[in-house]
Amino acid sequence: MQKTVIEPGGKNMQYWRDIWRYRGLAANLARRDIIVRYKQTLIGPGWAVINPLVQMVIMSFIFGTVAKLPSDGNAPYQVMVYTGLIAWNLFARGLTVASSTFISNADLLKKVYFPRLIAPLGQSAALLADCLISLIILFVLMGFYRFAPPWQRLIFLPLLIFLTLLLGFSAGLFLAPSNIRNRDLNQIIPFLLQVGQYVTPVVYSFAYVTSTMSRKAALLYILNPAAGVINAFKWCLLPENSFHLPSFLISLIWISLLLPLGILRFRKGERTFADLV
Amino acid sequence: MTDRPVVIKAEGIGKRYVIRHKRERLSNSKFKERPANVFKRESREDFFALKDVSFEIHRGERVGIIGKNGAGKSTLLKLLSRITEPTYGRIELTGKVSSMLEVGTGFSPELTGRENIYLNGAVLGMSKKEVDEKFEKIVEFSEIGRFLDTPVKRYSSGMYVRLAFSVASHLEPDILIIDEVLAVGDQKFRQKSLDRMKEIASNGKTVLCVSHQMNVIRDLCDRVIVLREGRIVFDGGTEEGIKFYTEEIKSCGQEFFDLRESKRPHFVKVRTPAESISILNENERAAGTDKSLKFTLRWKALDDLQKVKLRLVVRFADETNAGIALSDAICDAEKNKTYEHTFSFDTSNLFPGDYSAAITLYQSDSQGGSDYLDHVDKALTFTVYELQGRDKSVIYNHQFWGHVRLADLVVTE
Repeated sequence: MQKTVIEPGGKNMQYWRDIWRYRGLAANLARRDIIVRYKQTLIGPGWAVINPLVQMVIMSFIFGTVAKLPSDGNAPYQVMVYTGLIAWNLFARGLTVASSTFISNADLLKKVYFPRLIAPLGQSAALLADCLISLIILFVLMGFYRFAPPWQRLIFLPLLIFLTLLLGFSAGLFLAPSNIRNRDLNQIIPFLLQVGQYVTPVVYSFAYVTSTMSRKAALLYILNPAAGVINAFKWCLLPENSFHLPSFLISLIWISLLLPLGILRFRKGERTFADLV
Repeated sequence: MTDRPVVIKAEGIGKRYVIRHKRERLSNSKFKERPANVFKRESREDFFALKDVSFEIHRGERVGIIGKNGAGKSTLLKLLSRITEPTYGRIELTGKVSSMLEVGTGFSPELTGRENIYLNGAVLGMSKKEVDEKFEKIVEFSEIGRFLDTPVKRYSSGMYVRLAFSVASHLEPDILIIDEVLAVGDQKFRQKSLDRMKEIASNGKTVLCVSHQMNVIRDLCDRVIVLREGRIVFDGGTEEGIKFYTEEIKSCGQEFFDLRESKRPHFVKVRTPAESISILNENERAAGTDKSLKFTLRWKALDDLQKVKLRLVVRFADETNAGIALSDAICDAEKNKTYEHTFSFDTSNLFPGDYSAAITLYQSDSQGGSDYLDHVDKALTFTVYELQGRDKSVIYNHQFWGHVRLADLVVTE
């Protein structure tokens, strides 16, 4: 029979076994998020599409038409921007969902036990549905511009989707405990993400922007954790995007740091959470 | 009992909370109370909700945990259900634990009844397969029938609670932890829930239950633990435990009840806030040498109101109802005037014991309905003592006889 030992200090070896046992809950939470998001709206999944589409129109007008920045090679500016936005939204929403999990699930977490990581895991998984819908629209858009994606590179797309989400998720886990006692962070994060979108190659070409910079500035630029992974995401979908290995490796290093640190901090936070909220 | 294996073992567990006091604008009275803290911006105070609590529970035992508010009952359940961890000590649980600390945790209002059964099932630790197997039973027990595919936000609160309880009660844990869950739904469903709990308990499951309702404890449990200020002060049989607890409540009587901050039910639009009740009986708070309880009610009218009446619902210490007392119209009230009325309430028909009373100020309409002007649950507590000179040959048994002594039997032939 299953034996559970409860001791202070969170010495709880069953945690990871419990995560596996509660995988069904993660799936259920993901389903809840998807259903709730689309229920009761007239065009259902349409909203997942409209937001980035409108952003795409505005951004490509400002950066492409007005500022006349070059795209990634032959890719229409709109397609390039939309690709960037899909990646960025995945990252940004993953970060938001994970960092606010203690707040958005407070009622649940105060009343039942399950490994607390399950909640952000499930909610991040729900984001994949939106991402998928956006990708379908992207292919429609490409068809409209008679633009062919690099077919053979598409096999890397699932990996890049995963890495982009993982980066946001890890950073979110790292930040989540700071949201428990004071809610300031919950206000700051949307603001930082808004700024972050412009220091990351989302609505402009990575190759072009780094080419205009001094070496030092470019180095500083690629230290941005999201820069490499988002450019690599675009590389999967845009044939003339040149893959930039150093920035991609920097992103990977960030992930390999943020994920374990994030989990550690999250585990520490979840132990005291119920007493503080 | 003791030959069965121990399934819950708590060794010296304690739980500390840190309370932060923010400096507030201090009224004069507060200033007098805590002069030392006045100049600190924020002070921290350690508060132990549980101190050195140890116990062992064997498989199949049904244990009631009782105690006054703040005695540490809920904290203990939170520790056992792993929502928070102890500050020190160690707990060992053997077997699958499920806790029902609140009915309907994780229900999502946008989802349908069907979807919520799966979601809530998963929240409570059931796999999809388990829910599939029990789905029919859950739906049947909840009596929601054709509303299964309606979003639960359109449910009445009764339906909502029935569905939620139904899911939770079909868990099949080895150890079940329940907090006041039975206090839900209408009378009929409450009974049904209670029967269901008894059924679960009789299947050899270990049950831990917190409740303020002594009749629930009495029905469900075969052992009682009484907590006081975070420590176990009693651990033993049900009847002795309940007696121990009622004695404890008795010892902290009071004569003045400030009602201004008391909770009002949300359905009452308060138009005559009751401010206080003071009990006037000397020495004994009721009966004894006095046959009646005398008390003064102070209340304020926020409107011009005709024929305000008062009623008293009297409850015994274990929360079972004893009866109701009504007044005639007290007065016609004028807006913004404060009133004080002294009432006398004959307690000679009540069996000796501790009682509380809910007060309701109301108006009657022509159809016989009443329009609530204010309502306070547990507005006052009082003790009824044995009247001097009465036949002492009977020992009152509240459980079997109720709380009221009816008119004497008279031999006519």
